Amino acid sequence: MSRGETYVFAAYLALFAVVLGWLVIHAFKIARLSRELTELVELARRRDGKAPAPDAAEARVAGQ
Amino acid sequence: MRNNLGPALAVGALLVLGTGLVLALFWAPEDADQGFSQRIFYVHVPIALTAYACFGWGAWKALRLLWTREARYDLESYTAIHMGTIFGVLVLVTGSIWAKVSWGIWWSWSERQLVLFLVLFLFYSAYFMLRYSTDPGPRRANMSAVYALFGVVLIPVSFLAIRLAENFIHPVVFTRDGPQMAGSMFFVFCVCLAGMLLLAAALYQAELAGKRLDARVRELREALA
Repeated sequence: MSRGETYVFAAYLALFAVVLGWLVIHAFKIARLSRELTELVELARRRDGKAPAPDAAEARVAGQ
Repeated sequence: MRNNLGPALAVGALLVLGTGLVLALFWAPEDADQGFSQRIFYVHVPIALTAYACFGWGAWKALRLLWTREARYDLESYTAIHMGTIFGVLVLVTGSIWAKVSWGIWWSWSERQLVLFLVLFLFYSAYFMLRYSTDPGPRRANMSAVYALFGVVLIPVSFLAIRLAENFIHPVVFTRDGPQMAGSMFFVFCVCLAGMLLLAAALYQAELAGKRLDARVRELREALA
């Protein structure tokens, strides 16, 4: 690989790395929000005096 | 109604930017002066223009906030500036790589174009410090909006700096006579620019959706507390 090719590859890799980095951060954020929502659903169910039904909640999420 | 804008933008970005990068690497003619390394141009310049577009979009949303007082524009302006800063990092990284291969140095403080872009980038980086030093609410939204509007003034200055410079090594490609490159090179550049703008729009939509969801979860938590 020539010197020019190495630098071009590095520049294109930088773009790819930043987009991938953003994707990883966003995936962590979605996972956190999903966890918080599950907690809130359980909290709301406990307030209503109903037993938590995580399977039903997960089925709803999977059906989206 | 389901909002399919985000996925459509993401698919569009993948197709257009993917095509653009393949054309840039394998189809665009080699530059007589710089050789293969000139192909950095097809990512560096579209990324820079996209960063300007994001900052401009953030300023437009800030203006809308000050004009209409609708709270949603605060989050939209913040997200656009967030995206602009990410693309700003990429401008500096790809620009430095290109500088190293073309000029033999990573950075030149005597180049107004480079320094003004760095000033613009640091100005918008400080936006986050301002935003997170104030409690959420209308006051923070107004301060952030005014700051974002001040920053937009730097965009034309940064863009035109190269033409104001007397002696420079940063190349001028777009002049009053049009683009100073072959038609095929300009075509590839346009495809890459369209792809980069689509990528920024897709990231903006996803980021905005995430931030809105975050805000709603917080509201729900407060309501249930």
